[in-house]
Amino acid sequence: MDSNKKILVELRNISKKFETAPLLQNISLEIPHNSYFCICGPTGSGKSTLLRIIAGLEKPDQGEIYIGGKLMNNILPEDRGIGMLFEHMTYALFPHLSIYENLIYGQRVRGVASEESEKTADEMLRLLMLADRAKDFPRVMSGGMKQRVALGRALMTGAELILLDEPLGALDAKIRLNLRKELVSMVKALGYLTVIHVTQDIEEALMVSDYIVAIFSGKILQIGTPEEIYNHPNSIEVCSFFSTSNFFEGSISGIEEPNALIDLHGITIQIKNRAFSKGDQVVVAIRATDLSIQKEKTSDLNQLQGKVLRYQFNQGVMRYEIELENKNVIVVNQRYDENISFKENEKVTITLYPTNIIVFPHPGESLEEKIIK
Amino acid sequence: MPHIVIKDLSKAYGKVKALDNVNLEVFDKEYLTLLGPSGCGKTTILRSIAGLEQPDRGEILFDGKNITDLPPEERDIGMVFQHFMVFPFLNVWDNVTYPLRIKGKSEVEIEEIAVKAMELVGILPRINEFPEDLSAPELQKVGLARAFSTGSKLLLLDEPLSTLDSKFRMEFQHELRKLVKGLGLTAIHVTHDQRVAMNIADRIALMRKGRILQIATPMQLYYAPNSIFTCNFLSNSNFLEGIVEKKEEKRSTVRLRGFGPKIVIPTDKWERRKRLVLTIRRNEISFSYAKSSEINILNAEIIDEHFLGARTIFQLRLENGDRMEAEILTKDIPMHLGHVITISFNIKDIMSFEYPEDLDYELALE
Amino acid sequence: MGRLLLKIEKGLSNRFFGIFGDSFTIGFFILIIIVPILYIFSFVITRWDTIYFNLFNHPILGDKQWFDLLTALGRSFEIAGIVTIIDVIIGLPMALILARYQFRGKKYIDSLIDLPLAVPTAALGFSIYLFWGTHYGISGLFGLQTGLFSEGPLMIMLVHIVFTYPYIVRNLKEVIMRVDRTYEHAARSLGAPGFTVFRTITGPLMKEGLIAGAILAFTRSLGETGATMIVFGVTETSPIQIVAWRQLGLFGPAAFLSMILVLVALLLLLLLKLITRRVGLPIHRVFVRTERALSQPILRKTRNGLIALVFILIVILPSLWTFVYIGTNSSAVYSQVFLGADNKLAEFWLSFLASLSIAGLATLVCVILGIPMAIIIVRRKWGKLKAILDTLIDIPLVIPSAALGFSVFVFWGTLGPFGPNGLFSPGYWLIVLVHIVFCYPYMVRVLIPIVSSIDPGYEEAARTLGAPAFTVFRTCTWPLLKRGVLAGSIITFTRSLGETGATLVVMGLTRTIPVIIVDWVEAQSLAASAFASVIIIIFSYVLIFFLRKITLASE
Repeated sequence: MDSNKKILVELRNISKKFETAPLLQNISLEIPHNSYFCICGPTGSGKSTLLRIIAGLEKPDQGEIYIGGKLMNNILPEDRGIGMLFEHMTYALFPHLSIYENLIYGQRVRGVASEESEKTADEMLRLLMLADRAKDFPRVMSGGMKQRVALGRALMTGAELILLDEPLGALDAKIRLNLRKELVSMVKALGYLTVIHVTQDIEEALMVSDYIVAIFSGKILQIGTPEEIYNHPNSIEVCSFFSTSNFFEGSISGIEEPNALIDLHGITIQIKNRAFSKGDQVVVAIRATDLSIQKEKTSDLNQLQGKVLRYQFNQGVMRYEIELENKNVIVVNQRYDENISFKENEKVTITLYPTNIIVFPHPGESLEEKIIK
Repeated sequence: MPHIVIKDLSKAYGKVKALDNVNLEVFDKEYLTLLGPSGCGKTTILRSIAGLEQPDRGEILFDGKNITDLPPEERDIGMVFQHFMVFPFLNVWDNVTYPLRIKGKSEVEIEEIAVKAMELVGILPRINEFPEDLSAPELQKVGLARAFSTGSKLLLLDEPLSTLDSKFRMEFQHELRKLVKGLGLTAIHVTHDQRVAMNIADRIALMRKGRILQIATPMQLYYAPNSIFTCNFLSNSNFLEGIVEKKEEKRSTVRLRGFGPKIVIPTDKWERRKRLVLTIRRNEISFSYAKSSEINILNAEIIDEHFLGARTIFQLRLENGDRMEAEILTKDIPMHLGHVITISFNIKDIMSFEYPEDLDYELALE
Repeated sequence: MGRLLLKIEKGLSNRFFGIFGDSFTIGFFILIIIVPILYIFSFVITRWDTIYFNLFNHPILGDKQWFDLLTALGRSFEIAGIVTIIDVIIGLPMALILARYQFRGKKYIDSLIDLPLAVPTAALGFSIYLFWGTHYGISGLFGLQTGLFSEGPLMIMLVHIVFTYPYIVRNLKEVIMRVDRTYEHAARSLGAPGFTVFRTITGPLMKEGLIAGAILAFTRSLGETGATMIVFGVTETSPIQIVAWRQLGLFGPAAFLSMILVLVALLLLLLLKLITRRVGLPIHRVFVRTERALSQPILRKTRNGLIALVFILIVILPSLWTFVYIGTNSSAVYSQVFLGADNKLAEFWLSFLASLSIAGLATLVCVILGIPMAIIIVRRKWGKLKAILDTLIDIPLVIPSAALGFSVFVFWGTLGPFGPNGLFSPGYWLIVLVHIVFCYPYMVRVLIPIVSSIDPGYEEAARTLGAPAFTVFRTCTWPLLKRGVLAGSIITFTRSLGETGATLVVMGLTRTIPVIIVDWVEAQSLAASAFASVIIIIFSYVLIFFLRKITLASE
């Protein structure tokens, strides 16, 4: 991360327990100004709790939060200069107030409503493309419009930090995609916002963020750009959660500096050695798109045999689940071709393309738990 | 052998037409899916077949017999619900045997049929448990076993998978089809999720605003949609406006609007000067190509790039200002990608439609 | 048996029986409940000359009766108004506490709040009278020889507050809980301090419920008879006036006053349904400094403490004072009840049995005819007709029971349309009939949300599995309804146990427990009254205890 950027939010050693179970363990994080940060992880990873602590809706058991350089631990949510967007159904837009009144609410309750704030509200309406709907009530507006108003309302308080908690929830996939795009372009258009967005939707995280914070079981495992998280995951959890990967167990069969050879079910793969020694147990992750299926074995190298368990067509891509001879199940995604399709229980050959594989040291018995999907 | 025919079915709620003169035929032992956005009428049709809704007009024929006026209990159907509707005050056994006890069957018969049904779905070990102790997939299995117990050959399914975690969905979907086919049932399955429909159905009836737009096999629906809405509903596509310039045998050349680039399309059915909408799916666009007469090649400017992991979405601008989206496998992106690039797509992948009165309406998702 | 039962059910499930059932249910409701209430209008109109004469031109009394009528009305309204306002002031914070906070012992507070609802008003009224109005009560602790307050309007108000308080608190608590907290979170995140959030967001979102609760409390106070009879002194409220005139045989003025009360109640009901849309609250101006100050945690804690104190001192302590009295005066109780020459014990048992049997019968009828009514209101798609039916059901709830009792007395008796001998003369069966009339809405109101909460999908599933309508009810709806019916029965039963006003009007020689409590107080047999009160309080409370268990178990 660019160390010259000014830091807006800093978390130091944040921990929180729920009864005896640890929700967050020693979280430290720096979020620079003007960045779009996604906190992403599976259910129960602690991401929502973290967001609520930043918002001030919950207190950490230990640790400090700084926003804009000031210590915020004992500051009430309404005084932190944050705007929050709530779950998508209503965006918590006050149903008994018009759009205009919703927008100007923050100013009113802080006692700073004035002619100027009225002008700002009008401008905000124009920016949100809702100028002709100022007098309408939330219940007559579409999801997208409500999202805009909710964002506008948060921004009217002068907040430079916006927190989003799974804002797109359980919407229809396509509608969600559109709303997501609108959100991103609005944030871009405004140019001065810092956004922290919690989600468990990987595509969403990859699509909208400048940086992703990968959080599992209350710990931050990795922080990086979407490319870094996807292409260079630092752990099996991050790798399995953010991509559709197959995990193979193998061992280092030989070292020929600067390379190492891995024995994977009888296939030998060559990688750049990273401090491995001969005999080390490893786990190799291969993406579903880095495998292909064909009928017959055509080579002795990099090919495995198995049979088709089931398959699924999704928008031109076929996802095959293949059961190997050793009973492992792997997933292969490849483009649908009407001339080449495989039926259930059909014996097939799988070709590995080892260019993009990622190798991890074998974690021992906890391998199962680490594979998130 | 249930063969269902729906004739001119109509139903309105006030001014809203839930069903608008719907005609549909479901063949014996067929697995038909009713697919569409919310409010399209698919659930209304299913409930009308079940007898839970009364249509304003039209008929429903079951093996030639008109059942339109019969109450649900007199129609020979089995039904499975989105929220399972497993009776909370009865255990699994009592739930599954419910339809048999209603019919007054003997204890011996009840046991035989119910045990078989429970074995089929794999819920036999849980026979004494109550619904509050069961997981969502298990509850749905109870619902299925109970529907099977009715002995009916027609199975109606109302979004049976939407309450299940996506983890379970694919496997359950698979099992469901196997069960239905194994028992030789006719199934009518309502869903809004195209992934489910595409993989479980023999045929799909795509609906919108109370009408059936197209009935076809999944592959036909995907690769030969008969409307822009269908195309947009089932895939992420680009829509380009153009005018037919030249016609040849089995091919035509279309000039995109604003005197834009020329695109060759695989049909000769449109007259010259006809205004069209061309569609090309974003994952059918390629950044590399081998020159051939089967592809279209265009220049495009990359405006934006969205990394989505295994795939990357590119926002492109064509010479005439038209916007397009291309979905490329990240590993297939050429090493040195410039700002202006050449894209290609197969001629056979392009579909064409008459330019509609209201393109926005066609592209809407409801 | 199985197959035969199924065959019968199939036969009963056809459309004809469905229509017949619906018609009978509605018909019963209209005949037994609505018509008698409306009959009072026709009664007054047809006898207008006599009534007019008695009210304004009586040879001996002049227009005294008219004057008495107006006074009674005025008093009732005055008292009801003041009581309602006090209720809102002390009830709203309590409702807020119950709705928003979690704390140890919350369950007990909840039950305590229900106490006045469960117990016959006469018994409770007696306890309160002991507490405030005699030297056996709080003034005794200070060594005074007489009660702190004497009988009259102030006592009446104290008594009415106790009875109306649970209505307001329950109502407001539900309403507050229905306001989604996310709105409050959003308001806070936008910078609004606690008080402002309440005034600008929570308040407007619950204003309908607030007005509804206030109207209910108002009508409850208007109609209160049992406890009022013990403490009124010479301040006669409307219900008391009706009872008095009835006992004197002055049916004309009684009818007229009843009619006015019925009219007022109907108007209030209409108001309830209409006004809620219009009333706005001042949400646009914000007084930032003041509201911030008001939102300080210290103020909140003080407020909570005060509310708790008020609750205990005004509601709880007086209500349970009889127990203290019995404890300290057990010998007096013993001698009055068990040794007295007039055999009070036997009297007590007779009335107790009468009360129980009347309550039992009324409840049974209400269950049998309330369930179909609840199902009609929730499930039938009749549009406007349903809304009308829904409003009609509430009528007996808002009409002062004495007025209601009088209407029933007139309709079924010698002055009614059934000929010179009438169908029912004052006595046991008329009491049962009257109790059915005002217990019915309770039953239906309890059943409606329960029927609503039964997902119609279950019944649909049962039908697709081959069950005809009747079988669906027996095997699917009823199991899901059982708990609710039991809860409704307990509520109805206790309501009937406690009824005084209407009972006084229609009773012949049969006396129920509340009646003898009132009688014995008038005869200054305080100890005996205390005895009867305590027994009935314990009995009612045990019932309510079971009610709580049942409803909590089903959640």
